[in-house]
Amino acid sequence: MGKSEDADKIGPFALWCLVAGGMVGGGIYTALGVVVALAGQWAWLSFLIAGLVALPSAVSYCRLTNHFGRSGGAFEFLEELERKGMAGSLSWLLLIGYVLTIALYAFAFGHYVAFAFHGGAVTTRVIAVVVMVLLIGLNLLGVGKMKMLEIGTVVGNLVILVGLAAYGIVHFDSHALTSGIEPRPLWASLIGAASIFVSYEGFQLVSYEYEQLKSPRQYLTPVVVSGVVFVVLLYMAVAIGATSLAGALTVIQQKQVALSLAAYEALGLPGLATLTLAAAMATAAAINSTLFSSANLAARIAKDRELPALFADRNDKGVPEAGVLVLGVMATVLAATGSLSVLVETASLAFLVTFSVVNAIACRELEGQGGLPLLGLVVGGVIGIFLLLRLFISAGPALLGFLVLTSLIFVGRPYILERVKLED
Amino acid sequence: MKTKTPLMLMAILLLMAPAVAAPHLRLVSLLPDPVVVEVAGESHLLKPRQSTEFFSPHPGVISLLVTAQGRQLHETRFGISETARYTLVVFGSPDAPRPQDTWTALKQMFEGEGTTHKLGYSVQCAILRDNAYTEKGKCYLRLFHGATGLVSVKLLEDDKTRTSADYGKTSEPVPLEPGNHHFTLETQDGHLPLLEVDLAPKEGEMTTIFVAEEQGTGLPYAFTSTVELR
Repeated sequence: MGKSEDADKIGPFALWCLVAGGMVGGGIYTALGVVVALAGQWAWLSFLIAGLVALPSAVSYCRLTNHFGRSGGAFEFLEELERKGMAGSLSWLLLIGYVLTIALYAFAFGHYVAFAFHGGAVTTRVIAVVVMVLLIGLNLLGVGKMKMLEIGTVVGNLVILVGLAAYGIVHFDSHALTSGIEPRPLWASLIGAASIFVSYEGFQLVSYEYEQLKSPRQYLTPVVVSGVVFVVLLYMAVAIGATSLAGALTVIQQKQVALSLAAYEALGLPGLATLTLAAAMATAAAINSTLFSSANLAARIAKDRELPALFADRNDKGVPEAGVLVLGVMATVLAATGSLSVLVETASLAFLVTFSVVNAIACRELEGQGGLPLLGLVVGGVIGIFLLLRLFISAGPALLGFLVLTSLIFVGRPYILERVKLED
Repeated sequence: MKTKTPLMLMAILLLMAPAVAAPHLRLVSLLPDPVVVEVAGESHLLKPRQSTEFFSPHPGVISLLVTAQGRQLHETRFGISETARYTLVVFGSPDAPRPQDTWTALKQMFEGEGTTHKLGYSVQCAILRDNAYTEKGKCYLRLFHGATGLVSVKLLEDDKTRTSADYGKTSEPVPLEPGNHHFTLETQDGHLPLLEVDLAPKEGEMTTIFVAEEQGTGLPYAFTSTVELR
């Protein structure tokens, strides 16, 4: 390997930024209001509990990626274990999870930008659609991955969020955590954790870039773990700080733009403007990187004949066009029509299933290292039950749709693949 | 120099500390008959379409009990913080049964806050923040919908929708120019004009239009109330 080739690779700092940015990018901007509505004053504990699934899952992802030495994440792990059918079905489910996540980020982008300009519901949806069209276009032109810009955005975003959390904690008012709402029991934190699990999904995008990493065997696990721990602590601090500033009732009633209101309470219009800029850049970067990674994952899956061949085709810029267009358009439609809670929670379910599979593989494959993955499986199982209950009770049609789609994937995927052109 | 550092740090922290202020709370009733509202150890007799003055309970979690002629209509607890101002609205129908089945309890638990509509049309309370995302010197309008016969309503001015609200919910404050305004209240989807409301808000005020319904006729009425923004 030449020196210049190695210099182009992702070093530890850039990797840390991609991990933290991938998670924070859209997560906290959309999750705070949802989790405070469910867990009230225990919102910070919900983030900790969800973190107890995310952290072991991150360790499992890193160890398995190093173990197999290839990009591809959960899909690759199952392929290596000769579980092709399971790999295909899980990858389809994962792609649905990414579509939901991209839609969620676009939804958040629309809300934060529209709120700053007093835009209404229609303006919000229009902005979400416009940003999606722009980012689909940019990806098709081959500028989907701009690492330096992404790193700059992540650093700026983290500085603003840390500042907001610190300001809120310095001005901490314990009564604001239940301001205007009925206090919730401690166990409600499990419902909260279940509903916002999607906030932690971003770290696993780096498992698709294994070949681009500098010395992954040395850096991957410690860097990803430190990134996840940082994000867990940041989410907990933002949950306490922002709710302390805006008050629980306001965070819930304005859940789509809860952090904007907290920033407005802290610093008035300059705070609102800064936070809106941070939210817009973070969510746009998150849409961009998720669309780029998921389209490339689709191309990788198509190469292994688990998706139609057209997903593997690349345009003259090397971009998997069909993946960008199909996934991007599906996310755009959802962003234009979906509701925040349903998007957050259905996406959470898709990632909870995926992470559980990865933890189960880690338990089986990594001898003597099964303790953490087992913890991830157990806590993931508990919050999975709460998530299913929550969706059953509050979003029955969305849960039914998700279950029907998942069943179709597992049962109908081989049938579909028999009838479409696959990669030679 | 070393001895000055802790003093400087204390001075900075003191400068950053929020001004301590007592929370302010007022009560509004949209019920057809007088009710007694016991809140934070104080008892208030509330007549229909009446708002109390602001009073200042201690910050923390306080309990609330609504009764009419000795009959308990609603009971809840909620938190109030030091710097916030709240309007607590009692609304619903005293004759409507309060759902007490397991399914309703589960729904309330798993759907969290903001699910007042799940209690049907029984008597309940909504809490409105009076000083969230508002600027001093500006003028705002919001709508609270407590008319049991209507699913959702919207407020129009010059045929343009200014704001809307579902049953049991309040709209977010919308900025308003001071001066005379003429609004029409309509059903959200049916375009059925329900009421005409004239307002003349001033700078630094938040006006709330509470929509409820007349006893007997079931026709909607609007009760407006203004608070000074602080």
